[in-house]
Amino acid sequence: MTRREERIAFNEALFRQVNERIEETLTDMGDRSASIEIFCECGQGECMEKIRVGRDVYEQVRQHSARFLIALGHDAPDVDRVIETLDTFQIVEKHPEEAVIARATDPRA
Amino acid sequence: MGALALLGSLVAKSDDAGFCVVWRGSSGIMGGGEGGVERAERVAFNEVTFRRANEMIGERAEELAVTGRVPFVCECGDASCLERVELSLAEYEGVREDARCFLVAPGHAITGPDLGRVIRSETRYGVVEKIGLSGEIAEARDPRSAD
Repeated sequence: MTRREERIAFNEALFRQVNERIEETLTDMGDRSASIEIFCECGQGECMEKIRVGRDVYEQVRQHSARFLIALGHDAPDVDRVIETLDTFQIVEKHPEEAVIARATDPRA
Repeated sequence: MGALALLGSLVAKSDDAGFCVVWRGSSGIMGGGEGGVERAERVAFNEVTFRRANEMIGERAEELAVTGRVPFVCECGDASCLERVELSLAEYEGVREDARCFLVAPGHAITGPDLGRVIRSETRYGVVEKIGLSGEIAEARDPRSAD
């Protein structure tokens, strides 16, 4: 794994961690909306994009340690592959080598 | 050198993935890299990312008209931190007045040269002021400064 690939993997993990905290906190505050606004999990340190995803989709993605939610066009083919493209975001899955970091940092694992 | 110029130089010398995070996992510190400057960058990156989450949480709390304390996330530099810090929106705004200040759970402050110092220590929370290099990063990446 290159240094760049490692950086992306850890950055993605950080944004997943942050999104988990956001989702949990909003739920505890009584937010019952069908969708939530979260940060793009693309792993580029400078990315400031926010995406709105349905809670059901969010939960489906979170069942897989190696899958992440990213803004349209933020995928990096050398580190992940696009699983699904929706209106405003994409679901990507890490390649096996980088998935090791994704699994090790999954707060639900 | 101004904060934005400094940030630009930091990004330029890192690769195109930007900063790398500090992660305290079951097998110890993860995230790679050695040296104080790189560690300061990584800790600061984690902190500003958690601050962005709290900005979002604060905005949503206002929309939901939450009264009393809001469960913010700890903004310490450990990417694996799961702690929550409960503050009123007014208390949170007090922390946010200074772009170099971060909200942390008690005992979670990461301090030192180019990292930060504790400027407030309450029973429920602490406030860390970023200094040196990480202070520059904190200012440059303050979402309120971009308004």
